[in-house]
Amino acid sequence: MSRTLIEVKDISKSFGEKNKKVPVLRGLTFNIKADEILCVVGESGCGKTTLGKVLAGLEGYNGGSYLHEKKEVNKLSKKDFKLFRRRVQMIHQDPFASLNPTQNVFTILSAPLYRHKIVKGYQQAVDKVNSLLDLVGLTPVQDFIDKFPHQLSGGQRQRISIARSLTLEPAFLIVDEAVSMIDTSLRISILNNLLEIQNKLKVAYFFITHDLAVANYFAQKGRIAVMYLGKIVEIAPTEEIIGNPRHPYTRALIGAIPEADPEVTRQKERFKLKDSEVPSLQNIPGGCAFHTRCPWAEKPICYEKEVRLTGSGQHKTACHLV
Amino acid sequence: MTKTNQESKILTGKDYWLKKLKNAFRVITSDKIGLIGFFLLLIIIVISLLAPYVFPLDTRSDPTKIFQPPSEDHLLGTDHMGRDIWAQIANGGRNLLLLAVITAVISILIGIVLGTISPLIGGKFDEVLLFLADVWLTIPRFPLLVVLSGFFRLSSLVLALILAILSWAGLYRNIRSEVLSLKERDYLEAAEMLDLSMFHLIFKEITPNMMSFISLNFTLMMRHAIYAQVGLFFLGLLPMEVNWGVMLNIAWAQGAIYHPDATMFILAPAMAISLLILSLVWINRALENLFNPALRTDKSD
Amino acid sequence: MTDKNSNTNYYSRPGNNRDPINNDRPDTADEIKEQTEAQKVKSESAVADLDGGDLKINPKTNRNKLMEVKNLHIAYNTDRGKLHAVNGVDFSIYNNETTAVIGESGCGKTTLCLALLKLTEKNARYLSGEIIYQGDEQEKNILKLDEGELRKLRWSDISLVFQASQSVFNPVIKIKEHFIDTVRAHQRGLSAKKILKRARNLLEQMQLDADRVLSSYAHELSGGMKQRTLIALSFILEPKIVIFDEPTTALDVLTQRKILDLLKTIKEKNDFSLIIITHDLAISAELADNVATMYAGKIVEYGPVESIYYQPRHPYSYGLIKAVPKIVAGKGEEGLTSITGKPPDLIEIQEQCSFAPRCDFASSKCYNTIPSLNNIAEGHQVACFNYQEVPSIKDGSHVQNSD
Repeated sequence: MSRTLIEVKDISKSFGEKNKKVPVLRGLTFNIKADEILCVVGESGCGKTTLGKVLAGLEGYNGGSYLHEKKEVNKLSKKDFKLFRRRVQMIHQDPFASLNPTQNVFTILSAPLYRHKIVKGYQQAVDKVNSLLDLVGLTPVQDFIDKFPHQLSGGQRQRISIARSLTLEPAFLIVDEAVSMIDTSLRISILNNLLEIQNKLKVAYFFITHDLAVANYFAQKGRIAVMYLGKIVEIAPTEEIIGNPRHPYTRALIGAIPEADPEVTRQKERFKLKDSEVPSLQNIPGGCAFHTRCPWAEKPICYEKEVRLTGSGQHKTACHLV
Repeated sequence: MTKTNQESKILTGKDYWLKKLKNAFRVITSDKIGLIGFFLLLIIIVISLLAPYVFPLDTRSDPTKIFQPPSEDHLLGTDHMGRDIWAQIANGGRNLLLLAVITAVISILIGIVLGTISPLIGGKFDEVLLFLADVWLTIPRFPLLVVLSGFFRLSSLVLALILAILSWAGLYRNIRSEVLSLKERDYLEAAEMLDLSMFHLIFKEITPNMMSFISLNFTLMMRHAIYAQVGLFFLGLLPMEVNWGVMLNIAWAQGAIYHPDATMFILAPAMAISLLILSLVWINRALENLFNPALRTDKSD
Repeated sequence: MTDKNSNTNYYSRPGNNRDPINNDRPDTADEIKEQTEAQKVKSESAVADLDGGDLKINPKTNRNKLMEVKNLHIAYNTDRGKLHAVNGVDFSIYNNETTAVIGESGCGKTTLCLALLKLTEKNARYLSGEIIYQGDEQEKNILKLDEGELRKLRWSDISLVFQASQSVFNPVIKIKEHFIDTVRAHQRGLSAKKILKRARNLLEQMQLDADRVLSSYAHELSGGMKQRTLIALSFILEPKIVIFDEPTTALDVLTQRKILDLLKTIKEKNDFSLIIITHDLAISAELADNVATMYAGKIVEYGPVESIYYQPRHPYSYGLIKAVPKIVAGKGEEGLTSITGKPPDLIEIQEQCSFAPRCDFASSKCYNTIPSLNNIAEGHQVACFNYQEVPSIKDGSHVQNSD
């Protein structure tokens, strides 16, 4: 068994001033092993992107603990934080916004190499950039090395973005909706490329997506966590959560997704919720936050008692009734 | 493919800028008014540079030629001391322009440094600087200039510096807000993740993306500087020299407006100033087009 | 549902037997015109054949054409030259059917749907072709109508809901006013009471609290509610054709589900044709009766939804379907692949099948001849020389809701 890389315990985060605090993360607990894939799925506003930024060290956290290599991240010394920066990298969603339009591929990829003294001199930089481009499948390398972002397609830009995140040889990659803005026909190849990289470099992924189908594909051997209003409502190995969802929210999501198969999608079993409006973060319902939409909700327990993520083994659910 | 082969293959940022420049040229030339502005400015610059050789200044007074109307000898007539007005016009823009450019360069530099560092550092530093800028903006600039130049004898370089410093607040605010919007871009977040240096952030990531914005502000600053100078010269608060503002001052003081044959004495410098400002305004307009994403066609490259 | 026997039968029927080899790409405008004429004759003969009565009984043979796009070419003037966004499109919209146009970014699908209302941007040039709309009175060529006639047509006959068009609501005007203004712009003298009654009815069909929605401002509604209100608004004048450009793209899964379900019910209850422009194959699978696959400015395949998803005959449709991950349907995720390469630059004029460089089934012919859209089965057309080599995804009849 590989060692645990990331330990998150009861982490919370809120934005805004003291009397107008908006809680975005409301106590999440999970671990990520050194070569594991954890997919986080949820609707917009569930806090998945904020969670990604907290894990990336771009945002702080208000409560709980976040251990990276057994060290509390917001208590790292300057030197250790620099090391953390090298070990943890992020891949952004929008390949058109994540690359500086005024820099060519070589400049984009070589700047961090020089900065962190990973290479010495121009020749080493060229060699390293070549191997990175090769790794992300942009071959022949010489066709890409001097291109500017606007000369590349969306998929190629995303690969450059991936290559850049690998420059510092990180162990943990946060991938924020990396394929949602990529053309359908190219998505699988990007996902496959990420999986290949994991195979070669043994990195851990924290993969954020709104698309359960993508999560199901990407985390075939990993786990999926479903988030709702700043909490994890269910977390389990992928096959388990897709095949045997327990939480009503997970069931609703799986049932709601249209599929690219006319008969399946039209006959699919739906799990109907009570009311389709999501409560706002300023006004999160008490008890189990999902009770306003949950068809199973029972008084008084679901309305009053906080839920915790419980369950035996790998499959954990935050629901009073399962 | 050998390594040396590849080494020569990698193109630098120059290539990008060449392309960008070509694109800028295309957009600007597609705007007729902007093109006229550029030509106008070019003509003014060429005349100003060549004037000492082609239209040398004759400072001797000639009482027989006072207030002459335009003629073959004197294209725009003569002034109250019988000196050629065209020669003064041709020579009187040089210092004005030079000063305007120096002022614009200094103020833009201050603006870039403060405007980028402040939002990047953020926190208290940003707040205090922003507060100072707000206070600074409430100071009436021109009266302050008048007072300063009344007390001190200002050389043109010092004047440029004072003008630049006086206008730091507006520029700082402009560039700061531009940087704030750039700061939200993912590539800056990525640069933060990669722990790149502040120098890299300012001059490699941010400034290149603000070039059109900066050039826009550059012409704006030049205009301000010209106005301020002309005003001070007109009020006679700066040392006498051959200069459009001084010409206006003298023409006014000598009652040229009451002398029908001397219309050109007062009209010519006024026109020259207007044309210079107009050329800058038109160039500004063309640059604004550059800004307009609908006219920028980077994507189709 | 199609089976192989009927495929070959239909294909060999006279009248539909267009020889793909001789369909060379026209070079000049004159040739395009000639081809248009020729195709017009051909399609007319095809229709005549269908009405001949010697066919198997198939409900879809009685389809009424509501709109017909013929050999449409649209190019944008750009700095680099003409960008051929729509490059010879022929297709028809039938009464009371849902047609999905699927394709990836830059394939010209949005230009095509904007052209149906002549709403394309200023730098778009209609090089050739026509869009015939069978209105109440007579046939109209939409491309030849003037602004006034178009305005009459838009929204009352054909309405269009843009991608992310929730911003169409003016933030300082109540939703109620939007309904009244929209109706009055087309039907003068209708009382507000009558209009609001109709609006209330539609909003209730969209499962909204009609009174609350009508008396609120746009910012007081959530994204999903705005989208539903907009859909209601698009139906207020009872148009014959409703076009949705990416109807649920920016929405969350559960909101999307709600809207898909509502669209289905409203489609069942009312008579109109729906056109859905989407890059999302799942949405078209869910809603469409017919699917048109678009690639590089052309419709490369058109057919009933089951044929396209289970027996696609164009390698691009096949590739797209194989590239979409599924949850329930695709338990075994093996076999998911991306299409290699990238779409062609639409500035360059192609003298070959534009998909050939990315195609696994391409033969030498594909590189020197442009395939045209040919009937290969009842209501199933494909622009590919090697369509018979494209494997089926699965046999439609075997699909059960097995887990």
